Amino acid sequence: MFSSELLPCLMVALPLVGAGLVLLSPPKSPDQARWTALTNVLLTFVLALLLVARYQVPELLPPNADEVDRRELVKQTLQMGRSFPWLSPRAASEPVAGAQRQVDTPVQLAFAVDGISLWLIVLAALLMIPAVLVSWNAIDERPGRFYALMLLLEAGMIGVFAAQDIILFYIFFEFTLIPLFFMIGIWGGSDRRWAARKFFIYTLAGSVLTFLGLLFIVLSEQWMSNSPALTFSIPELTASIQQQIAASPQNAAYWGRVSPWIFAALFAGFAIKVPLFPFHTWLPLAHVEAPTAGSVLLAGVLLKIGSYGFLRFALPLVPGASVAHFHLVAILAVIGIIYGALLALAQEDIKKLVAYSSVSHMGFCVLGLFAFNTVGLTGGLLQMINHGLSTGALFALVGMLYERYHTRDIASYGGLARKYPRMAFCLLVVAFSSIGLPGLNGFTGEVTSLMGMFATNRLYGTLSLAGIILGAWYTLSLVRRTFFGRLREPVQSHQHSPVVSHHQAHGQPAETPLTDLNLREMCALGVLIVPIFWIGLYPKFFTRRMQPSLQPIVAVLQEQGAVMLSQKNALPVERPVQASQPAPSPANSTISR
Amino acid sequence: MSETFSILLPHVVLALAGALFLLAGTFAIPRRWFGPAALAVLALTAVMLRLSVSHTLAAGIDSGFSVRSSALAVGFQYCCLAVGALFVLQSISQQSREEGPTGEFYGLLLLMIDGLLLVGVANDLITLFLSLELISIPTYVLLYLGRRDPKSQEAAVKYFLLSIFSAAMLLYGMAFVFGLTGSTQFDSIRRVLIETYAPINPEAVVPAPSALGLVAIAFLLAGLSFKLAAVPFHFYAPDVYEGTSAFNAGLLAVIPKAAGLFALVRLIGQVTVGFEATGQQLALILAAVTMTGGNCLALLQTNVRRMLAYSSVAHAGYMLVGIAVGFWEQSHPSQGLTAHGGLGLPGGLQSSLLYLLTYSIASVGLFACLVHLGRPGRQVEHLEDLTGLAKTNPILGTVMALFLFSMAGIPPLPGFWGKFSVFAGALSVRQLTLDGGFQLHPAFAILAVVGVLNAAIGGVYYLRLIALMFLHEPLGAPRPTGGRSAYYAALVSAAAVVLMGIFPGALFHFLQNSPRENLGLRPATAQMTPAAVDSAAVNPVAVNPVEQPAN
Repeated sequence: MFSSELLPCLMVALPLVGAGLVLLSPPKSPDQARWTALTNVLLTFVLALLLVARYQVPELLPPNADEVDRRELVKQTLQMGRSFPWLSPRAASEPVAGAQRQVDTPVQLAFAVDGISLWLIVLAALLMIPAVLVSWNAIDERPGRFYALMLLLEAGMIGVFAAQDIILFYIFFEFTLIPLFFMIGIWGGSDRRWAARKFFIYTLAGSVLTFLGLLFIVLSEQWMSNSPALTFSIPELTASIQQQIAASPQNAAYWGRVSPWIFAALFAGFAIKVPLFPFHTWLPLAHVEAPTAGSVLLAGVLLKIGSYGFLRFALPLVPGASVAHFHLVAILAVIGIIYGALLALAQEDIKKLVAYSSVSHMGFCVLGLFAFNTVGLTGGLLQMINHGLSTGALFALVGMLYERYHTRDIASYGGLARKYPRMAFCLLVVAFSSIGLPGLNGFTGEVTSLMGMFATNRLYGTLSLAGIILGAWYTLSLVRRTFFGRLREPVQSHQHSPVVSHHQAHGQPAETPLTDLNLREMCALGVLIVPIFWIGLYPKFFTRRMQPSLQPIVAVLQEQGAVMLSQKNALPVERPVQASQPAPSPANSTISR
Repeated sequence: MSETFSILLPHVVLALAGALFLLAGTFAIPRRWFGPAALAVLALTAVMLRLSVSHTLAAGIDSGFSVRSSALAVGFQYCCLAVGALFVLQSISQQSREEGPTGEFYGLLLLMIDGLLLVGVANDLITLFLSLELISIPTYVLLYLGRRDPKSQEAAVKYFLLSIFSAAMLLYGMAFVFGLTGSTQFDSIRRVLIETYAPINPEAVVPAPSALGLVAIAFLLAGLSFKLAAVPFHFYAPDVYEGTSAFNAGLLAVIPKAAGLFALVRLIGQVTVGFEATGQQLALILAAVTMTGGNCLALLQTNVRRMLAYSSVAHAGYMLVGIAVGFWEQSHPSQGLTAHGGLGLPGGLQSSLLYLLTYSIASVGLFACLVHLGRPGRQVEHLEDLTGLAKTNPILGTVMALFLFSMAGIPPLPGFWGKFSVFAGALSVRQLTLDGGFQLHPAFAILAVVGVLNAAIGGVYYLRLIALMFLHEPLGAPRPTGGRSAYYAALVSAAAVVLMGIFPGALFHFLQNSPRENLGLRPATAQMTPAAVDSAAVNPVAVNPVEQPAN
């Protein structure tokens, strides 16, 4: 066996190799491309399982832990790390002015996992399986290229979560745009070109500002620590900045001054990616026009990059500004939850309905993260995984239905449960998971993030409950209207379908027999339904691995967020001695506002 | 063999070869021989350069010459030779088929490349001016050669007149520098300026910058801005690019820009000591206006070459960001990315050179694709001509998309690394606050934000072209009629783009370790303002005490 240190690097490299292999496979035999892609995806998923198996869960902090303990914990949670020099061909260090220092630029190919990225990596690897399976027959035009792009996307997604270098993170963050642009633009629905471009430009416009924010974090760290070289390593930056703020009041004042700007820059990119309320307009278009696999991955994994960004950068690096912008973000999230749900309720197009429900559900993630306590953060992170599973499965189901009838119009369906009992079962499970039925994953995620939010601010918690009720409404009415009642099937002639199929546009009608789910489709849904039950019945398996990584972030938020806020309000710069106080117990620690 | 001669040897070879080509054009020599011969000459020059480097850099050239080599200059020259070879390569097919003076064409091309190499080593205002003219004059002729239609005539005349005008401005600025310092030789100018404006002795009285110098800086910047095609000196670019052939447009997009930028980098190190504040302000404004103007106007274009002309204007803006940072690093030798021997990223001037390189490779490749896709008289004109290119010609489409993504700055392509280092430079500029702390320089912060937003605007029109090529069905398939050699040139550039994107380490390493003296940066004598002294006492971050008088 190989050393587990290489696991995250391998997980990024394997899909890249796979993409190359798929491209090399002869264009005449699409099946070869399909099987190569599937093998590659399964292998990557096996590696992801190995990652979970080899991840050692560190002990949680005792209640009276101090900063040193916290740093130790962070070090313990970060596992299987490996870095290679990138911008420095010769990592030489030479003694200058008596001090040993690195002369070369330290941007590195650094990969590792911690409790936050572990499950997101597994999610990305898992969702690739249904993504490959649902495209099996749906993509009949140049499938080799489609699968190559999809594998490139997988490398990008895993890379984003595994990257431990701030520039590397950004590179993967942007890189995911390219394959998805082509996937939407070439294989998407009727309005695919505009959807692809809007998606790309919208995300790019936000992320370039994020790029400035990330760069500025690196440069500011050097200014504060006066170290002889810049560091781009995310854990090093996080530790060093927290140390510098605690070390000198001047640094704390400086960081307090620049934090809002950094937060704004990070917010620009991540809020668009999540998406939060006013920035969500790219999402329905991209989701609806994307091919099924694209929608599954976009909703399942790529939206999480936004909330992951908040969790990885905004909360630990600019805790003061995050706390200060609590109301802004929470209000946007609550508006997103309710507005998204209302829009979903009004949709007649199944895919649009699911797309708007994503806006609503992602609001819960953000709400959980911005509760600033362990419960909320755990809930937010868990909700990311849950949303990935349930929305991924929903999009896959919509895709299967679409493959059979070539319409997404809700009104043209009815009573399908009689004809498709297996599909009805899967849809029910997924729908219940999505609306948070106890025993399924959605419940654990939503309840924990709302519990966290209730501890911080009751009003927002209560308001977002409306989203749950509306969610149950639109999801169940979707299920009722399509799968129950009198059997009604869309007319098969394509001219009558309100949504023009892209097969028609390409002049290649692909006929799928009107039978219940076949083995391939059941496998695609099965791999999603198993974790839906698992998280719902035994969430501790998952949260136990998350919490050690979330705890230090919460501690920083509680301490330094409060420190910097108090500094902002009271001008004579005097750092309150808080580090020695016992950290407040997570659940009932509220932010006094 | 004297050092000067040894530095000049490759240039002499190239110039003689150019003259020989001009002469050979009058004899009945088969047309297809000229292109490979020109490639051979460039290879020979590279060998000579290698030989002369081992001779000169080992000997350790002292000041006092009108040419001076350095590691950075040699690196620049190698890159120029490579880019020049790509230009020669892409022209071979067309030149061996077309009617027209081939010998003259390659002769002039070699002379241009020679001028570009000479910019790298020029150590004297006169040499610098002559080397810039050695680029301009062959360009005028190349724009005229073999083109009889009114549009290209207009383009040539326009370029000729505006170029002469800019040369006059440059010369005028140089005259002011001479009037101020009494010398045209860089080292003497620098010595005089440092004695006056940045004395080693901290007690010496520093006079206010002379008005002569301010005028000089303004004129030098204006003259070189024409070469860079920076707003408001860009007016020739769209018309000339549109009017001339794809090959000539590519030449104009790369060679004058490289010459102008390297000359600017050299001048900043040598003749601007004491006037950095003015230069910084001018460069800041130029950069912001150029980026925004170029990108916004590129959005409106329907002609490929016109769009690329405006995009090349916009890229000049990003390079000027690095120049502005370079001015600041000049006046603050103990701060910023170049302080203390470097923090791990190239400084402002080096980052603008890095940007230039990434831009040049992508441009050469992109124009080579256009050369391959058309021939004189039937060129790719409208953006719509490229519709569906990825279907009819997948490899060419992919390669073009690669260049366009690189220009848009999408990682991990080289354009991203260029933007990365340029904006890291802009964000490294800091200033002292009243309470003794420090903060990001607000002007540079705004510049950085304007810059990245421009990158997003740039994304719009690059992506529009990519969308046309990939997402649309071909209308009338663009038939590649420009010959194979341009195709090979595009492939070579694409390989270079991919390699530079995935392995940028060597470049960063080279630029960041090229010592300050290569750029003629002001020595890191702490020329501290009282505020800086105060803050050094309070906060050791502002000025590193180890960095006191180095020389």
